Amino acid sequence: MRFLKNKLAVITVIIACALIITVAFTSKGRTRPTTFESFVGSTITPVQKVFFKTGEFFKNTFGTIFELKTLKKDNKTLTEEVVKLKEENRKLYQMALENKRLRDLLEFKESNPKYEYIGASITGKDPGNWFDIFTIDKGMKNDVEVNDSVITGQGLVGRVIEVGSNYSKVMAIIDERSSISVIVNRTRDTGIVSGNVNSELIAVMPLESDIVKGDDIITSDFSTFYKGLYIGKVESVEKQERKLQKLVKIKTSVDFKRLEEVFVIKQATLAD
Amino acid sequence: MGESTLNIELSRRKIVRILIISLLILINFILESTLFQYTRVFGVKPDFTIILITSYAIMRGSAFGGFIGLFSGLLQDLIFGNAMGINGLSYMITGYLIGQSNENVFKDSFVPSVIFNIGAVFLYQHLFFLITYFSKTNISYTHALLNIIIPQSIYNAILGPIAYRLIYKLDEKSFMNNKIY
Repeated sequence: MRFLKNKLAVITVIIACALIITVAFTSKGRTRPTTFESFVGSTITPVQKVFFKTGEFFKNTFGTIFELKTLKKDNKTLTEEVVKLKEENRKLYQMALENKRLRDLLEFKESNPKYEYIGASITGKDPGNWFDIFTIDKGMKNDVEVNDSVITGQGLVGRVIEVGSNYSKVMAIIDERSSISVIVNRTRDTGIVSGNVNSELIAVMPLESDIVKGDDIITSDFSTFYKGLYIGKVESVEKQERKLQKLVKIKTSVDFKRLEEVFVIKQATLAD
Repeated sequence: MGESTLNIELSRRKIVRILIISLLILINFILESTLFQYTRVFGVKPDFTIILITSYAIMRGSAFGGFIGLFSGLLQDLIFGNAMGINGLSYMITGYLIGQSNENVFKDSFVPSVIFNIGAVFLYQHLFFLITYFSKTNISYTHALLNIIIPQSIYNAILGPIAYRLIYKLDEKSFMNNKIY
């Protein structure tokens, strides 16, 4: 019995050493999974998808029951809003037409890059509490590439960090290890945004930057993301005189707790 | 029953046991990344892998604890991790160390499950923190302790005994047992 125990200890130590070595070798980050990983990932993803969808179904069903109370009130406010938005939309349409006319007049080049959208569903989220990584059901077969931006209708979600044959890993912008170069839409001040363990977005801005609560934050030209993607609104600003910087807390426009469907975007044709 | 039939029966049960445990690891992983995401309270999710590891470590000792820890951890690293082996290493050591207590605890009481769940979460999270610390991820320790480790250990201590009961029942089934009467 004594011998068996020692044998177990020896095996454990050997495996531990082997794992330390693999950690050291793989911690630099990978973008392509190995064949074995790819195999496991491809088999597990469809199963995960089923379970994820089941969870969503239950959440939505129970959600509806609890929302019945407020439904009528919501309906009224929404109808009012539709009327208002329709009116606004009509105005904007007029403006777009006018814009196009004037643009044609000036022979302006279309500077907005055109994106190619790949729709994807989320299949699983990182079980740990430290990082925010999730998997989606589109991969190499669907032309997803590493560093592609992932968005929803509301705004930026994250970026693809690893691509398998039919699945990809996405690192959310609220992940501890993610950092993005951003710009304040109103004042054009640039800064760096990164996530933290609490899944909040924190931006570091220069002390002299003029930034207030409610400012819109978008990605800048210097980031791995495409420029001009919407991130969120400023929630609070904290001045740190000694460090000559401002600590800005950002409320993301995307609700990371309720992510279901996302788009992977890539530039179809490079501008110019 | 003759000596040889007994041996055949024992080795058959051994294989069945390993198969069932592997299945448990796989199911646990799939549920953890999908349905169990809805068990988050204030952003903290209980660690069901720890519950599985501690339950088996208490019942069957270091070999089982380490084995389950290693494979559930590697599966997590494979699908969600960046560096291979961070979770595998932390979970394996946790399972091995908790399993050392195997001969000295009452297996049909819920108390060891509560205590060891708290211990295992602390152990695992600290190992994990230590390894990620060396791979240049700057996370504040006090912040992690207050916001992740302590809430999670409490959460685990509540759910652990319940799951332990179920796993204990499963383990008592004749096909899982190595007692032959």
